[in-house]
Amino acid sequence: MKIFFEYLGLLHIEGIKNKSFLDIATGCTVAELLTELKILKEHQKFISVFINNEEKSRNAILQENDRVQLFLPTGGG
Amino acid sequence: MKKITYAELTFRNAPQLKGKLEKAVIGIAGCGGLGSNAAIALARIGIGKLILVDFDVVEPTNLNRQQYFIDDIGKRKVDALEEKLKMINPFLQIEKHYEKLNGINIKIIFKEAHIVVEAFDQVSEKAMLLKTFSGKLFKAKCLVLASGLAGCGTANTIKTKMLSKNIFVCGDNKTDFLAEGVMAPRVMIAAGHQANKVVEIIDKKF
Repeated sequence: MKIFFEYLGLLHIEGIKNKSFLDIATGCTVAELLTELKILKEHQKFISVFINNEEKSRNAILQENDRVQLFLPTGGG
Repeated sequence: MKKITYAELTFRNAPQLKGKLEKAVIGIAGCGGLGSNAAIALARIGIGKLILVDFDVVEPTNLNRQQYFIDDIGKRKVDALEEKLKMINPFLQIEKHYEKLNGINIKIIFKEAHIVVEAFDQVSEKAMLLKTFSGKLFKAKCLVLASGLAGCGTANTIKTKMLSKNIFVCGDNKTDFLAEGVMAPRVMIAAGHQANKVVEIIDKKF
């Protein structure tokens, strides 16, 4: 199934274009998506995930056409 | 000290904000570059109450972006900022906390706040505040984060973006303070975005 995928902040995900559609397995959870994207464990703990403009836990199951945003804050203040 | 009235202070404010700003309680999580600038902007327009939280003292290297002066060096940031805020807006209620925020005390310290301005330096602290905000306790509150305000590039990359109906992020989401440095112009722009978002939320909420 397809989701719309965007990442904000200092994330760099190999081979995945930001703000693009992604093909994922039906029933895929947020946790599984992060693993599939090979996001480093030390970054994962700082990432918040928003699905359709709602913050979701790692257990959330992704649905067809979900708009998924990964947010890793950038330092400075 | 000379005196002004609240009406004089807010005379040039947008008319639709009349009666709204003084009801708002805003948490300022960190009183450095973002926090001190956002706090002063909100004080100037007549915000009701600010809850200032910072565990640090003013250092010389802060002065290139934070709203402190040479005579403030060594003072607690919450104390130095309070002094400045009172010189601008004597009607402002100020609550100070000289401590480091964590997942537990955030819920106590910002209990009264309608909106919290995230003004930390470290990624881990920003992430911690965001994760705390996802709990039930904060559903009625708004959070305005900052992410990406470093360097000396174009100001036009600093934007305000909605992450959810009550969580917003201001910045370019890209520039890293450790690699690119932090300076007043872009920090003030990001803080201005945060203060402006606070005003937008208040305008709709009250």
